Amino acid sequence: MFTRLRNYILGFLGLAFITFPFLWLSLKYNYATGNVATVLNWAHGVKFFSNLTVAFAIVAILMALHYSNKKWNWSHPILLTLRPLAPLVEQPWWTPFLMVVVLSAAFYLDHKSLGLGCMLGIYMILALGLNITIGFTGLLVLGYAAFYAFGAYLFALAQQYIPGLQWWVAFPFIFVLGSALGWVIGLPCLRLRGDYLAIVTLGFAESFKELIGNLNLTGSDIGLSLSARSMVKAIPGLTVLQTTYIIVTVFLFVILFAIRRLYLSPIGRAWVAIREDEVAANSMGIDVVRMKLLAFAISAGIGAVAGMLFILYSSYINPATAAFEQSVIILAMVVLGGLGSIYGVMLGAALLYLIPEFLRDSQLIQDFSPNFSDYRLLIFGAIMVAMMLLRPQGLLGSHRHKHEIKRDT
Amino acid sequence: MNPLLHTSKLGKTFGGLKAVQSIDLSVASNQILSIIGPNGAGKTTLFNCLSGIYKPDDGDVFFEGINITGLKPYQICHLGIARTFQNIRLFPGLSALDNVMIGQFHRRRLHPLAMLFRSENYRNEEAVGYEAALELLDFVGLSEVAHTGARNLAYGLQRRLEIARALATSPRVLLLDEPAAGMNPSEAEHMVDLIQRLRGRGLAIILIEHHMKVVMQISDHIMVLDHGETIATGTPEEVRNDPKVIAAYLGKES
Amino acid sequence: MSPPPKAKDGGTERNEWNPWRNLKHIFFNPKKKLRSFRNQPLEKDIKPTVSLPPPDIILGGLVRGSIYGLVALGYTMVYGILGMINFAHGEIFMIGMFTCVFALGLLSTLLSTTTLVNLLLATLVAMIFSAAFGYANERIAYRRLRKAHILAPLTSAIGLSIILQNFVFLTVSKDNISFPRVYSDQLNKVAFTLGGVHFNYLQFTILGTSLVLMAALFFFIHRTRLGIAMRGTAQDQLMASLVGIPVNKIIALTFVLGSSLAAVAGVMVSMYQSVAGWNSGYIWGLKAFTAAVLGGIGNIPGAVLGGLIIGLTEDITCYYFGSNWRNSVVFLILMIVLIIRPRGLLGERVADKV
Repeated sequence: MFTRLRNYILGFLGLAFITFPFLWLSLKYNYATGNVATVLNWAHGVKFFSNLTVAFAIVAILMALHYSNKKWNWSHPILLTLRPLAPLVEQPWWTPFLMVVVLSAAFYLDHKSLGLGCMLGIYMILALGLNITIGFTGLLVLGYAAFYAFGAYLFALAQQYIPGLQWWVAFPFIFVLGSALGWVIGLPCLRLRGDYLAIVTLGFAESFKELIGNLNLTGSDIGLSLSARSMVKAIPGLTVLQTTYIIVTVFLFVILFAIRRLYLSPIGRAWVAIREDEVAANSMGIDVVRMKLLAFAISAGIGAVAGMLFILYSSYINPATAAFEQSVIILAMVVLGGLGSIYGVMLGAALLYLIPEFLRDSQLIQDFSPNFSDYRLLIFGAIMVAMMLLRPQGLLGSHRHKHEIKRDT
Repeated sequence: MNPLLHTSKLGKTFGGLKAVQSIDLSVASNQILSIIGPNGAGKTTLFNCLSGIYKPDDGDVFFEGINITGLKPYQICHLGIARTFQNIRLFPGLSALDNVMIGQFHRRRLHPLAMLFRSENYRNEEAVGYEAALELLDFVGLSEVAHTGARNLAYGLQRRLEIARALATSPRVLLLDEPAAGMNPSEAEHMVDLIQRLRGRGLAIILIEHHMKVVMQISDHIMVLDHGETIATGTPEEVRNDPKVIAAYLGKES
Repeated sequence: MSPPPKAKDGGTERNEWNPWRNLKHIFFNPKKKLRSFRNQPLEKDIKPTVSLPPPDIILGGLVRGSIYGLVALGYTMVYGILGMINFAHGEIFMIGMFTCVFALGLLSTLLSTTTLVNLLLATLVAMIFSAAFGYANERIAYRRLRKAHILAPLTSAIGLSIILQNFVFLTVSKDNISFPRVYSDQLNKVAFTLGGVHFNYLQFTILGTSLVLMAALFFFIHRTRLGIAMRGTAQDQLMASLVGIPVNKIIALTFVLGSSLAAVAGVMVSMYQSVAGWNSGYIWGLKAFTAAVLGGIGNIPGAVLGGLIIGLTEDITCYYFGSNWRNSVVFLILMIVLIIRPRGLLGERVADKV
């Protein structure tokens, strides 16, 4: 116990030892050049704390959703007094209200926050999609961003050749083609044992990035840009961005719903069985290769749909979307949030997307250290390491509690 | 009697080592065939050949007269041969109930759309499966721990859960790999009782076991393996008095 | 069958229907120049006939490949002993690059020794620094998570590599820094010329150093007590600890060895390319990892072989198709090899344990 504690403390002291002098130097430099505010700007402070509150609210909601899916041991001494709350917690009747609140955010959020909301939704979809392979089935995929970029480029190219193509026409095709691509990539390597899917998907992502960076068809390095107005028909009375936000949110809800149901179905059980023990699963009548391919194809399809949503939001795409860093960030969201936990990976997406954005945008922090945003990735990495050391199973990781999944038949 | 499962000249080689050679066995429904032999005699290898985890090098396996040699494990399971493992291989993160429900997998119609929209049929199937799984857990005496994680079960219960999971695949032949290993006499007694009840369900059972008491009590036939070869077959009485068996167990001098 | 019509010399090629030309126009960006670290002939000068690549390309590929092999050793050793991918290895390689450049700067002001001695000292400093980082990496990202899910140490190592990258990015330079020419020029002299192609000392130095280090590592692992302890730990950590092998120390030693080899590779790369950048660890690390997988991960001669194959493939691809496609060709080869030989070129088949 104490050695563990000592190790953590030593680890953090080491980290602080490495990073602190540079933070201090930068602060000192900024004081010397008069870049640092000496008086607190209240408006910035209020903004900072309101941002913080929103972030906390997202975390709290996802945690509540996560724990409402568990069987609670109400006879536990701590929970005994809270027993009257049982129906409230175990039957989240407030979910529809929550959905309405999230959707109606389109009306009261400002332009910038709506953009953040769109990207957050897209990252949540990506994390949910990747969770199918990594969290449920236990297949390591290191090149997930390739499917994301594939969907985005597919939609962007289709837009150029079929002017006026609407997203609701395109998305089934994008899902199916993305799944087909995943199937083709997975077919040769899912028959093999081990982490080969990881290497092959990694290689595929690199090659795909190179391909779209070299073809004239895809605009080579510069990428493709489209007009948001032609892609998204705004709902009367709303702006294009508000409409996009609603589209992304609806997609998120639908995908969340679908994945939850699949997870609780025999297919989901088969996936988990493969993760837990592949040989035993095979002997129990599960066609392991087929179920793995199914998981990988569905995951790839969801990634492609997320790519389409990204185009709707940003109306611009370049090869950097398929970059390895992107795949790594999505992977980190899944691992950090908790492998195999649906709300956990959404929480991971929220944290890993919002923390750097938050650190970049916060005026309060910038008052004190104008070039603080340079440090955001450093801090991001430190948070990743620290989280893994403190909770290796992820924030809402359910490796120990998986057997307590409630079934709703 | 028409054998349900039989093999002819089954053989498996690892490198130069003949793990199993020219095994002929047959088992009919309501029968228990025990395979005994010293450690390393090739008993588990034989099971792995029967259940498709290894591909036999020579010989054939027939199930109800169909040649099933070289089929994949899941295909063999679909035909109706289920097995347990020597070193327990449950799905540790899942509940006992979920473990059993995974056994029902191949009998479920897998239509993703039906699952997404929870069609009438799907919900009925799920409910029936749930009840059937509970019933099986009750049969092996695990109904109290249905919702406990398989990892947290006691050792003896894990063995029983493995049998329940194998039964959930609705097999005709059950391969039990040392079900009573590491059990104390009273637990072993319970296991004998369970296996007897299994026979009552019309299953053909092939059993690998070291507990001689268990083996002699319940077997209809016994097959003795040593160095991958059959050295004796017959009823418990015949095997008990076979000089070759005694030699294999006690050494050559006897 | 009549022979296909040929374009007449001086004829108006533009008017002729040339499907290849059209295809080229669709697939290649004509504005983009074909780049390579060797001076490439312009697109129009490339001979249409397929000829063997010239010897300097082969040598360049071997040099590049030996560096990949050296970095791949670190990946393959850690994978062999822990069964985990050491994600921060590329960044440790990058730390080696930077430390060497700094050490050279310091040494040239402090000491008035010869350049060769300075270079060796700087390499030593780089090795020590990288080894320290490798040890820290093991302590921070791996040791506490050895029993956790396999993705947990992977994630913490990703976090650590983000930290290291940004650390260098913030504290050193956002742009590439250049290797002091004084040192690289010493070795960049032309050793001999063969058929109009120059070979320089640096290439031979790199090749020689890598091969010597690889041989030394092979010797270390197969002949010394520590090496045997290392192999024992790789087989079964619990058993190794029961027979008195200090498993934690052995694993730390693995990281330290791999990191110091990566540092040597870093020094040589920065000398060869005469630049070092905060993000150069990533691509070299990725390729080296690919090399380790190609040769059979966990297998030391395999890592060397994989490295050489990838280096050669890359340079030959650059020669024939231009540098735009080299990653794709490398990964294509990796996929083909994995489909034919799932355990890599020299990897052993592990039987399923049931």
